[in-house]
Amino acid sequence: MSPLVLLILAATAGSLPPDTTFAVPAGTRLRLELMNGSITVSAWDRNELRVQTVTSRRNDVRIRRSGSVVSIDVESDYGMPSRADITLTVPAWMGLSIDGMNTEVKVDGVRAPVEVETLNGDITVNGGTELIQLSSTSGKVTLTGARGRIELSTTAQDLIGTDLQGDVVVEAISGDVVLQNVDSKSVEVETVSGSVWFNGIIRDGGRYTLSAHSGKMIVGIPEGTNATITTSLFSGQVETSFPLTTSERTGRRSPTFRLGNGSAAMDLEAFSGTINLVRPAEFTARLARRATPKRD
Amino acid sequence: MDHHTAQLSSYLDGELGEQERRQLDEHLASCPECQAVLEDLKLIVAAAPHYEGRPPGRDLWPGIKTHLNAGAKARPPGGWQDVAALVRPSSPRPRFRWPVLLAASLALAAIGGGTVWVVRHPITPAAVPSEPSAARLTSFADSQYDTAVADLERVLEEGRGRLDTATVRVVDESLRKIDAAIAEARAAIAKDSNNAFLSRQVTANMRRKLTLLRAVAGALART
Repeated sequence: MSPLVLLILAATAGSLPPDTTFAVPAGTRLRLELMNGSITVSAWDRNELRVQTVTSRRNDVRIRRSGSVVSIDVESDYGMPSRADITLTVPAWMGLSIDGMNTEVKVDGVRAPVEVETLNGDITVNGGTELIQLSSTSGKVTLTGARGRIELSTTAQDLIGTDLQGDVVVEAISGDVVLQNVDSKSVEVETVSGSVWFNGIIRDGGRYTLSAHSGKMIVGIPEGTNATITTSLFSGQVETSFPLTTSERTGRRSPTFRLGNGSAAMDLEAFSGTINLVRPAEFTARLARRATPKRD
Repeated sequence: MDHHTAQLSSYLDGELGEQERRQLDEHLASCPECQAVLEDLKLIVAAAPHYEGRPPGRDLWPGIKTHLNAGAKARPPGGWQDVAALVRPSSPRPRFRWPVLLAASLALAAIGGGTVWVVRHPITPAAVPSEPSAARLTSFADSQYDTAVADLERVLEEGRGRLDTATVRVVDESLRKIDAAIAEARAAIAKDSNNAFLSRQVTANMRRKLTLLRAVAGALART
């Protein structure tokens, strides 16, 4: 695109009415930044973007188009913008890139890449394809029904992933990581003091690396799994709730187990926490107990 | 960092020739990643107008990347070990997104660390060792890493009044937990110096600490 065209597009920038809908060509991505407030995104099957805003008159909600990117920003001539609540209805194919400070973000039904980063504020996403990156410094992160490469991080709050397909990379510090119904050949999870809950299909040839420093680890191992489970422990220990009849066990402190033909590689690391290997049914039961006030 | 991204700093400074500038204009029109980087560079310029982008007296990154890579065991492509990938927008898994990286650089530059240097002088992936030696695994004393962390901690200290109190509490608590984990693993290494797992624990938590501090510094740069 020539600089001239860029200038023309820049000239279309302007403050946004509280409720506006406009056409967007296929392939357009949305970039949205909001310092304070909430962003709620739902998807529809139209090639249109609807933007509804509730905010102070001191704020300007501005939209800009540049190339294949539509950007929405909340600005103020009076310093830091005050709270704004933005509700978007986007084409299901529209990729999203959302940055927030004290911002709660909810996204539902998008079948495209979704990237969300907040400092403080929960992130809840249902859907997403290709590349899904969700990161909150102090908020809770919840992802459901995503397909693609999945990268999630938070610090103190829980991180919940359910019904995920594709490579999964998760990082937390003190929050628990709970991954259920995961179908992936590559999973990496790291946390410091939080617990790691993982239940999913262990694919032949897959690689699953779960690491917790002091948090415990509960891993669902389906019947018929072919995996070599390598543990790394310092003062932690391994507990299994089912007989490892076909395993070989080497070493006392950091045992290795071979299940079936040992095809998948599972590396489980716990400095001082306990690694629990359980069957999926027990995983589900334990997880249900975790949801009660008295945590497992 | 690709060719276009590496040009952005010069682009803002008006140092590009007419043809280079025109080509970059055309690229920017269709590249949201570079647009985002440019926006953040503008933030840097706005917040540190007198910063001249000079090379720092010490280049912090070689030390940081060495230690963040040291101890990382072999992982699939795109894994932790390639810290240099952090500054490549095309990385399949950028651990720090560009805005955060640059905003953190702003914070460091503003207090004299001069880390905007990284924008102009990308880390060469080939220079990053993928498999550390056993000796390197157990050596974590790196003044450059410590200096970078100290700089970012100072940014946090000076800016904590601009953050939500709950966020500050979470960050402080998280840093305490990371520090405790590092200390525990280091103490364990003293008893078992050849344990690669313990070395990985230390380096992973060092990286985690830097990531968290960078995220906060980036947020502060936006306020």
